[in-house]
This record gives sequence, structure tokens and C-alpha cells, in this order.
Amino acid sequence: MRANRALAVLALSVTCASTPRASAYCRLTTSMPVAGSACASDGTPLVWKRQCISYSVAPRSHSTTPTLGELRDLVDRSFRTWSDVTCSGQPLALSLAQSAELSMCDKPEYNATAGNANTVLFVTDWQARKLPAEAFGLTMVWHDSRTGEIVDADMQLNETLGTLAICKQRCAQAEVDLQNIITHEAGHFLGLGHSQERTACMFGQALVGETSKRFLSLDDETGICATYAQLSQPKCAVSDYAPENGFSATCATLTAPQQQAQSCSCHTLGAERRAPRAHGWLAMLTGALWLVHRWLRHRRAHDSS
Amino acid sequence: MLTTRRGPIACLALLLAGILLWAAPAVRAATVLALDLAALVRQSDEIVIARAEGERSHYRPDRLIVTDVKLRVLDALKGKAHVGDVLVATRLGGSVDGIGLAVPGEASFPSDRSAIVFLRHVDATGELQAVGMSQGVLPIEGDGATATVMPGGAGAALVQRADDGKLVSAPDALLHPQTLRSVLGQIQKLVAPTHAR
Repeated sequence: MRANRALAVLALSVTCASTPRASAYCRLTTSMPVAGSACASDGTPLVWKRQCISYSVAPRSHSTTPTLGELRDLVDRSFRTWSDVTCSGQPLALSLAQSAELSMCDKPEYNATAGNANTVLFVTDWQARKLPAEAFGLTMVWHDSRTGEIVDADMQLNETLGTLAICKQRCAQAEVDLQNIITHEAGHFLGLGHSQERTACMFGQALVGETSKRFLSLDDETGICATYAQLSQPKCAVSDYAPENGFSATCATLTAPQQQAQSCSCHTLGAERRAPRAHGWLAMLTGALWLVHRWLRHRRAHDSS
Repeated sequence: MLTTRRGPIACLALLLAGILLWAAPAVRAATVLALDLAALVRQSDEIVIARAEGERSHYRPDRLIVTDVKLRVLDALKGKAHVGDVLVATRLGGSVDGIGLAVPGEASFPSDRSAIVFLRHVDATGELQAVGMSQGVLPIEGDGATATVMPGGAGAALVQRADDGKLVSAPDALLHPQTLRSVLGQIQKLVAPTHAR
């Protein structure tokens, strides 16, 4: 009798352990969620189809703590949290890398006809830009509204709500832990919305100033795997990491109406059109060399280990 | 780094991450400071019950796509708007000529039902935005005596600052659905002292 009960308990445990949890993750789509709902019920899901994606850090203008190097490493760590996910034993079908060159564009933008950068930027004049006053971070995901293909993403971090910091074990008073925010925002960058799973990185509520919760939950992993499940493993040459229309470290000079006119092909800008810039190619070359350097260092470390 | 590191080290890291996740209490990333009902009321220039009647997306001079939403005022609770007026609220994001901009956490305004909307002026031109992004729109379900106000803030990650300055997790302004009558009563109480000053 006892043996039977033990077997029943064991069977129940195995069943519970092997039953997949209901997914609560949410994907961004070409439609907005309706008011009061975290998840959009219609629209085409947003996804990067390029698969070899670079992101660029724009230096902070007023503070050297943390240092630029520390910030760049932190941004890498935050993105790596997502790119290290394995899906059914296979690596995630995305390859992410930080550009060697910094972005000198201090605003989020997408240029349909000129170079771009997927920028992580720190904003000191948040309210002057008419951004929501209560937001610590905002990720803007530019996409093709017909296909859902993500063409650019920019992450803005608000310098005015607290001290942005790389917290150790715990944050000090009034500190905002950057890695928690950037890891969460990186999920948006990759096409995820807010999850309804309380333990998820992408859960749409609450952060305490701690540093120990920078990991993904099963729900986050399920969400990111589902988003990129249809894609095969990317083979990325250095040039493949260039953003849409090539890398540009600077903001575009086109005005919004000019961009609209270009995007609908109803107006030729002629002389106003921005000429290809020599320093853009130089930037690409520098980036390529930097990526090759990192790859070699990685190989060397791997071989020696 | 061209490709991410895989293999035993990655497995070990994931295992370690899993153990830490399992062992750690659940608190997550934040993007938006939480506002309770009093803060929503205090920070609003206009509080109305309204329904969206139409919207138009366009590029702002700073090259962001924004959407202007026309809101028909069904009841006015604070500010200069009157019943029947049309207010224009601007939210980040939208779609223009095949280019879309998604901004997670931003407010959306229902057209199939009414909502309590908390709006603030963001510049001298009188441009209005929802206070606290999606927190500033509380959808109303049902009619008459059974009308219920639903919590807002969906899609936004919320924190608030405690008295000691630390950031702590925070609930939405409404934790649970409440009757419209109850919420209106709370708002009217909160508005009265503001007007008296």
C-alpha cells in the first residue's frame, strides 16, 4: 500500500515536472495592446530577420561614473543574457555584437534611406524631449508595419529619475541598477513585450534596487525562443552586423518631412539628399577590425582553456 | 565577439543562473515610476471620462513617430475641458508610410468603451500626454450601476520611490477592478483640495 502511494506520488511529481508551464510571455506586434491589457491580441509579431545585429553605446555627456568601458561591458552582459539562451539544445538564432565605434547620435531615430545605429543612449534632458516623465527607460522599436520586421531599435535611459549605477550586491539609496533595466529593455529590443509571469525578466511590474535578479526565467526563454524559432542558425560575416542601410555614428540630417517624402517615393530630394560619407566606411572598417580582434581573443582564450 | 560562446561553459552558466533564479525571490526590471491615484490626480491637468474617436500618426520634428488621438469628453473631473469637447492626446509610437514605431508601456486609448483618462500638458503649446504612460488610462467596463474601472498600467514596469529614496516595487493605482462610482468618489475627494489651493 505504502509502495503504491509512493509510486503515485512519484508519478505525480514526474508529471508535474514534465508538464510545461502555461506561457505568459508576450510579443510586440504591429498593433498596440488595448487599454488595460499587456498583450496585443492582433497585428503581426515583431521580429529581427537580419539575425546578425549590432548595438552601439552613446557616451554619457555629464558623468564618468560608471566609466564608459564599464558601461559598454554592462550593455554586453545584458544583451548576452538573451543571446546565450539555448532553444531545444540549439543556440538562439541571433548573433548580437556591440559596434566598436560609439554612437554620436543622442536621439532615437530610424533612417529609411541612410545609415543607422541601434543605440543605447543616456538622456539628461528627458522632459524637454517630451518623453514620459515617469519612465526610467524607453525602448523604441522601429519596424516594417506590414511585415513586422524590426529594422532598428533604440534604448533610452533616463538620467533624471535617479542615479544610474552598476550596483554590487545591493543598490545604495536612490540608485537605479542599470543592468536590471538594460536586460529588461533588451528584451523589448529583441521583440518581446511584457510578460504576465511574475518571475519573468519581462514581467511588466516592479524592480527593487537589487542586483541578483538579472537572469531570465523559463518564460523569458520560451518567449525569445518562440520569437526566433523559425530562423536557422545565422552565419555572420563582420559586414552582416551593419544596421539597416549601413552604420552611421551620427544623426541624420534629413528632416522628418523629407524622410516621409522619401519613404513614399513621391519626392526626389536631389541635392538635399545626404551623400554617402567617407567616415561611414572608415567606421565600418574600424568596427570590422575590432570584431575580428575580439573573435581572435575569444579563440585564443578558448584554445588555452 | 562574432558569435556567442556555447558548449559546456554556457551550460554551466545556465545551470548556475537557473539555481540562482530558483533560489531568489522574484523581483524584476523597471521602467516606469508607479503613481497611485493621488499622484495621478495631482499630476494631471485634465481628468476626463472619454472615448477615442480617431487617431493620426505623424513624425514629430525630432523624428519620432507619434500618434494624436481625439478624445470625446463624456465627463470632466478636473481641468478646463467640458462635456462634449474633443481633447487631443499625443502618445509615442504609431505608423507612417509603412514604418512603425512600437514603444512598450505607452498608453493606448480605447474606442470601443470609455476610460478615465489622466492627462498633463507637456509643453507651452498645450500638447497633452497620459500621465504615467499606460497608468494614466483606466478603462471602464459595463454601464450604469455595474460600470467597473479596470486597473491601468498594463505593459508598464512600475516602481516607486520610498521615503528613504530607495526604489521599491509598486502596485498600479488600482490593484483590482472597482466600481466606477467608488473610483469617481475617490477622484472627486482628491481633486477638491487641489482646487481649493
